[in-house]
Amino acid sequence: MIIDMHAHLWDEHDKENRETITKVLDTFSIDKVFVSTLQVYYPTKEDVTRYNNKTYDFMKSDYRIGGFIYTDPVHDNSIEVIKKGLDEGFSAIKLWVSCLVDDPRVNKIAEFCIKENLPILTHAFKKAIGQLPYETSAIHVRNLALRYPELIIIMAHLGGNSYDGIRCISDLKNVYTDFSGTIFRGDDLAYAVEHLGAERILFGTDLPTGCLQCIGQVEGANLTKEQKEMIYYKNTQRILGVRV
Amino acid sequence: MIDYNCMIGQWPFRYLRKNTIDDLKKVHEKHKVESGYVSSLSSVFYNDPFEGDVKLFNEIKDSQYKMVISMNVSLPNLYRDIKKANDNFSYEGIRIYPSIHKYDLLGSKFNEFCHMVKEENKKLFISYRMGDIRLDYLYNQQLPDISTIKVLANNPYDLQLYLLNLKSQEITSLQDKFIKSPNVYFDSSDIKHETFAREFLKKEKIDHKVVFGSFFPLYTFESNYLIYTKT
Repeated sequence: MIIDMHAHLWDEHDKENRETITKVLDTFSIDKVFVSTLQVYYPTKEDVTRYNNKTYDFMKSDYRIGGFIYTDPVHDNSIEVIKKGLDEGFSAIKLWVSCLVDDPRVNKIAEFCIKENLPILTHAFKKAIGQLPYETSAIHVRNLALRYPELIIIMAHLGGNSYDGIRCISDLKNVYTDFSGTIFRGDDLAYAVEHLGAERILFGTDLPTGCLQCIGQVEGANLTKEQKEMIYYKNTQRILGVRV
Repeated sequence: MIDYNCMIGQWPFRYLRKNTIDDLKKVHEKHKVESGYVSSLSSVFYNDPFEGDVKLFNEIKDSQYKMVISMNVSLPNLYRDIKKANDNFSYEGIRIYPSIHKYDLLGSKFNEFCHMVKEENKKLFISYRMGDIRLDYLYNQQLPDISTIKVLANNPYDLQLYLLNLKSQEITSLQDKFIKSPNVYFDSSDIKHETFAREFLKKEKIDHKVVFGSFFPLYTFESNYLIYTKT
């Protein structure tokens, strides 16, 4: 079984993205995909509503699609957005690049998530070039995790640079990570397993951009059957609980 | 199946767990890859790439692998370097790294170099990028302008040319060149951005120009193998 907990629809290409994701599900033995919809870095409230509606439509169309609620901490309705998503059957929260994840405006979301036992999937990347002004990296994830030790945080993309990101969160048991995206450097996943243990690593792809590179990383990392199972689906099942 | 983009040796920016000829053989055998054009990863950052090539030659000389020497076109006395390689090795091709060694692919020195490659009747492998530039914290690659690759893809030197580590959109921007130039190929090591990459290349009518490249050990072999064989 494989559960992909990190995929997207892009607002301007949602129809073709839906086709790609459905084709991946049909072709590559992936059983379930959790999707959030995104597009502009700094969305309006109307953008956020439209994005989540698109995710919801996709969820309704196929039982294999789950949803992560995209909310923007900058907006004063960020909690209402989450409540609406929960009513619609979404499973977790997605935070992106409009606001650093340790910004005080994230606090209310973190506290709500603790109360509702909702994980937060946050984008995280440390770039040598092209870092966005409010783009979270592992150190911001660390700050939030220390502030809220009960909060479950999933740091995406191994923090972008695994050798920086993994070291930053290795002692924080409430922080998990995924290796989604198109970076598939040899040994990144092996490094992450060594430092975090397989039980803190989740399978995500960043679909609709690529997929097999992530399966290849699991297959190429000299993992045991148990470790592979944890990464492919068991950790996500455990973290999302009934919301899987 | 042949791997047109594989290396062994050290990379200065991180510890590689699997980077020896035995590691390469093991992963190739497991996936029924019969042979490969192997170059020395260590040579990329050596002041004299020949030092890495000596080690590579000794490691692969009795194997199924074909040796590809590394050259830095910005260094002086290229003719002597090729002569030295001819005197010491049996090799099939020459690999260059313009994004690391930073020279003009349309300059006179590169022109001279290409004539030498033609004269020696060797394959030329051009590494367009060496991994994701967003992760270049200690040393910034300088990717050649894609317009210079377009000029080369016309194959003005009539070489057997392999353009390595191009992304899908870069490949499609060169589509007509690949179709027109019979001896110009690209490898599959960085076509990951299209989820169904081979299907995409087929639709663009250039799938017959792609050769398998794993970019071992810098990329995960299994990732590129799956992308090449299953999409």
